[in-house]
Amino acid sequence: MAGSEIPQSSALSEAHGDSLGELFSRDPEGYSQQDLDRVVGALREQRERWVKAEAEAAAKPKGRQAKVAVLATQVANAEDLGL
Amino acid sequence: MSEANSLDTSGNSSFSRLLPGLQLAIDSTSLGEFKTCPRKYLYRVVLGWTPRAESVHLTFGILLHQARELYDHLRVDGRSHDEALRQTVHRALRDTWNSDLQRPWISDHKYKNRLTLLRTIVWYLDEKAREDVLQTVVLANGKPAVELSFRFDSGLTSSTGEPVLLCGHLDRIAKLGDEAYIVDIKSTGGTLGPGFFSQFIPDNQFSLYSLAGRVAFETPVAGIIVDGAQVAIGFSRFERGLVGRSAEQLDEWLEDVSVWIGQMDEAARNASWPMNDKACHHYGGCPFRPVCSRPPGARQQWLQADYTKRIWDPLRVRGDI
Repeated sequence: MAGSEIPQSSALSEAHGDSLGELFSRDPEGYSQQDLDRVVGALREQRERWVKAEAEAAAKPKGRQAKVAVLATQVANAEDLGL
Repeated sequence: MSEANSLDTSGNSSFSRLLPGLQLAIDSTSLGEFKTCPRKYLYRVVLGWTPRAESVHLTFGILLHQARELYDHLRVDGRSHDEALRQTVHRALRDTWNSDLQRPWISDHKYKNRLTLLRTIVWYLDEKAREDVLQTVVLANGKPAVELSFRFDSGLTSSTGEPVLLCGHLDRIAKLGDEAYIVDIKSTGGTLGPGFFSQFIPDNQFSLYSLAGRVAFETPVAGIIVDGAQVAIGFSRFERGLVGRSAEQLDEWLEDVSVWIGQMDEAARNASWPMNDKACHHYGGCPFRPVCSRPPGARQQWLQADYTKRIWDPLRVRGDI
């Protein structure tokens, strides 16, 4: 039945928006190095998005800055992650 | 006040053996509590009561400081930035995990929670520690100059004839060029800028640190640098600022301290720590307000029900000198 097995890929789980939430809900004693890299990677990605949004907000005319800043703060919400 | 009438502070090494309730080794927290409200100082420092539910700001601040401390140890041990960061993150994750209940630390604060803590650690270390112009001093024993305990003679003598020490713990000493600075992290839910840094001049804690930096270490420090960390829902932002003190300002602070220490002495002699009811609502409310709002005869019962004992002894050494 090897041919009928569902292909496994860590990329699939990484694609989930709540993968950080899933990690955060687990006992960190059992974390692998990959788990830790995923946490650090996800948080660094958030920073990149925030820096980009900040730069874009700074470049926009003043009236639009507030709206863009609000969007930037929605990068990650603790409640969305079940924390 | 039943407990205050039969004081026993013999289990706390910072207190006099001759007069119970008289503190002889005073750190900025003890002094700050007394300045704020002598009754609060009685509950928290003399009697060692603390709320069962710790303040989220205190928890967040301690975890952030511990992260920086561990990171510095790992870097001095030769780990790369990424490896030190990974281990620091792992430690923070474990420190915010309740293994008994098998669940993470739950904070009801909008800004300060487990996720924002981890995010602040990663963003802060990437931005301010990876290639920091402030190089953490390495001590003669090969360890980084972090969580340094200090103590020095204030030059004052108590009514019992015992010397009064000033003491505490510094976060980190780092070099910028040829000059040494005390570096401290302060997190806030507010915005950073001149207004944020101006709150530290004058400031009880940093005045004591400045004084310690001049008299308690072999190499006098040039000043205090604050790494401000703004923690918001979706981002953490950092700004660095210099918090200076002139020699005259420190002399003035020390003169004032002698007055405060005299009042602490008097309170212990009279076994009387008055309530400052103008400070009950500061900083979101005093944690002992629920106790003080009860009739005097009912307070001991409230303390025993909602608070727990944790001795505040500033002479306990944390790091390496």
